[in-house]
Amino acid sequence: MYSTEEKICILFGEKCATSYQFFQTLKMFEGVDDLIANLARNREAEKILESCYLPILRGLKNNEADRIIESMTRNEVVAVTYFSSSFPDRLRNIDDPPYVFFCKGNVRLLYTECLSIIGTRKTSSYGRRIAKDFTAVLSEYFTIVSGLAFGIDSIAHETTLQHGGNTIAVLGGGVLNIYPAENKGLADSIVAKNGLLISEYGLYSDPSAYRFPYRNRVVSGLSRGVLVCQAPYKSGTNSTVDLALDQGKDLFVVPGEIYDYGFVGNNRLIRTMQGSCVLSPKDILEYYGYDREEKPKETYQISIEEQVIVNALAFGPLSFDELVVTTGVSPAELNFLLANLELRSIIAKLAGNVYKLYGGLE
Amino acid sequence: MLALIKSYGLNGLDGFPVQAEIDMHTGLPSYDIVGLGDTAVKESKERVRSAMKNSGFFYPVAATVVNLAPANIRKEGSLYDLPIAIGMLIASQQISDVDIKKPVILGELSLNGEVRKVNGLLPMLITAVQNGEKTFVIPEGNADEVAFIEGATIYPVQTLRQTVDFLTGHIEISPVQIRNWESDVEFKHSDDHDFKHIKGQFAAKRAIEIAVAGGHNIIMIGPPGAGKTMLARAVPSIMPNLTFEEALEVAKIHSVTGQLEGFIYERPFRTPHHSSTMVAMTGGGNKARPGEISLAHNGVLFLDELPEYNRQTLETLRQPLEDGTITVSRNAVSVTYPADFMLIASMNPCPCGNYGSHTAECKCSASQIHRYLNKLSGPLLDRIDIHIEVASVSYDDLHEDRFAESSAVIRERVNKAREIQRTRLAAYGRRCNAQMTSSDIKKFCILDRASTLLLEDSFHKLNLTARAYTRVLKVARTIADLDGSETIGERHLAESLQYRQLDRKYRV
Repeated sequence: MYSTEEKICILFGEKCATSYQFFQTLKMFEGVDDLIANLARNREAEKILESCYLPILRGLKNNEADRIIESMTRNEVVAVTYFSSSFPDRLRNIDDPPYVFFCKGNVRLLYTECLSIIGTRKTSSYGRRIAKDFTAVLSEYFTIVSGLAFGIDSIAHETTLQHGGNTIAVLGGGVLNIYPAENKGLADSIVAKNGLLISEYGLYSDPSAYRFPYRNRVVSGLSRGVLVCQAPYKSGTNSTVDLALDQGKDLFVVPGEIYDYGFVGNNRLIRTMQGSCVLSPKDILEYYGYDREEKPKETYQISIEEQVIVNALAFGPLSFDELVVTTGVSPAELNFLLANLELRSIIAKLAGNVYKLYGGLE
Repeated sequence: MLALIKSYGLNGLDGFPVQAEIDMHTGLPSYDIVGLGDTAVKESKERVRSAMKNSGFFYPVAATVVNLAPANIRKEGSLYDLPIAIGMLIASQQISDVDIKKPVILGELSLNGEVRKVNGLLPMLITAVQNGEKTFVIPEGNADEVAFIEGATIYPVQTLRQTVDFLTGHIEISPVQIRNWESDVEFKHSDDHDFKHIKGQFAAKRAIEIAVAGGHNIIMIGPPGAGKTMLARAVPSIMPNLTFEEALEVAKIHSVTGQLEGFIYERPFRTPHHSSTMVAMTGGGNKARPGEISLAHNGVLFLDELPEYNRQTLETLRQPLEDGTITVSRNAVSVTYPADFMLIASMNPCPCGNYGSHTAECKCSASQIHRYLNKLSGPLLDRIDIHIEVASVSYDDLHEDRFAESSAVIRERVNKAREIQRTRLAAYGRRCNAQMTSSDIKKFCILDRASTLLLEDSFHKLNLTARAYTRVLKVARTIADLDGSETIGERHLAESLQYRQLDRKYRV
């Protein structure tokens, strides 16, 4: 059962009033009962609530909160409000905390140790690999928090699920209105596999552009640390990074090639020493005092022909054409060798038929 | 007096006999043409009148009725000019009835009495010969296209006067020399689009060789200027030579649309622009004409910048890609045209073309790229077996001469692989690996233990989707055939796994 305070939170949330609007409005009244009774006469509140004012008034009059709660129950959604004892403390303490969020899935994850894994929507194969490899290990120790966007976010969620880990997706629209629509399937499997979707916006609200940077404070707020996988020069990732730094969270950054457009953001964070440079998931685990037992490396005896290719790639990535010319192997044979090496994760195929040695990470 | 002249009409790719009946009687001078002719048929009156006058005949002053029987089937085109003119000359008793065995006469007249080329002559003639017609009079401009029709004497004519002289026995015309496909045709491949001119692009060339060998459709993904079009242009040069049956089918379709010059000796290569309408692509219009996909029959349909095409247009390709035919239905007619083509498509990795590049920044947003890629529906991609990335060739490669094989060498290998497939699949009514059904795949794409493990492994590692499964097997079968190998080995499978670029998840 929800208390009167909570019902007010739910109503305000359904009408998508921001945290600032909510708390400012609340301050003007003696308590929620006063608010319910006198909101209609308060000009100041009207100014603050702007376009939400009339819908909220109407909602109060029609007892809409009960209907919303009914709809939530039907859709297995619960609301966690600022006034409830179950509201996670780490969110209470951030600047501009949310006053309500709607949860679909395993609510208990809110009280687990969380780490957010974030990055651009436009990934490169290196960025994708970082997200995959780091998530695979880190999801054993943390609940992985991300934003269910394309690219790194999706990979983080999906990899976590693949490894049987826990994951929270913080949405910029309603929990019953998944954006982007292509990720509907992923959202469903997050719920099915004991993960959690949360959103501060009404159940069916549409995603608006300004809500995404705003919800990022929840992504970082929930987490102990934030891992940046791939951030180009301009990216939504940078907004999460700024918020995480404001909230005093740990920031981990994986370095990229300095000439690569896709990694300008990563390298800038390292250069300005805002984030600590990490080279493997182990670095993060060590930071938090986890001891990870090394798994024995899978060894694979490569053939002489494969060695020729590995040698050719030793000094940097080469295109298929260049490999044909430098190694003298026929295209058909080369295709076979490259496929084999790629499957053993010895090399990686980059965009534009370029091949590169995998190295560094175990 | 009454004159009856044999002619032919066209319905889809089949002819039907038409009899031009011309009757003249006394009365006020008039001219009526009946028998469901279209405007071109109706206008024949003016052409016939001038042609007769300018060939030294007079235009009879009489009440004239022309009937094109059967009167309930639509007739189209200008091909009845010549039979009507001959009929009028007989009916007006300017010439006596023709003495050679009643020929089938077809041809358009110009005002000065010349006989002009007509469209769709080849399919009409083929049906007529099947129906037992032996003698034909046709425009000389069409003579080349009928050079392979056996069992008929075909006289090419240039003018109305000459036709009359011939029919009345005053002059001789030598009939069209019948040629034999096997012995008389020398296949010339134009040197312009030969693989030896394409430097570098080894990966793409190899993929194209496999695609042609197995009859697989292929899509090339690469930035603008990478050479996708050049590669596609060269594809017909490595395809097996046309057989006579194939060439005849192609020639029939091209004849109907009036695009046949001589006969067809090379596989067609069609590149409809991405602004093409659905009707231009599939065929149709009020006369249910064949579209681009039928014109590409037995050849290559190249769709450059695939996502730029109208989505609906692309979706209509799905059925022909599956069946090799397309049925065009319009209110009066319903025609089935063959459309068994190899699809070659190309696209950029994103709207601006730089996505994935290390040297240039892509300016597209993630959703733009998504939208761009999503224009290709799953079912359409399902029918494209090979996806290959084509990168720009570096300056050094342009000077590199090694490994630039000529098309003739590659064609040799393709022919060999095709032969193996034909022997294996002929009993099942299929010609190449791309046509294999799932039960064929079970029969002919058996994997050994090592390969099974490899396939399983790679699905996880390469993030392939289930859709890729049968495609990978089919292509692996073709690679094994190119290799002359009875079974699919690990190496064949490994290579075929390289050709599922668009199936890898998280491209964006």
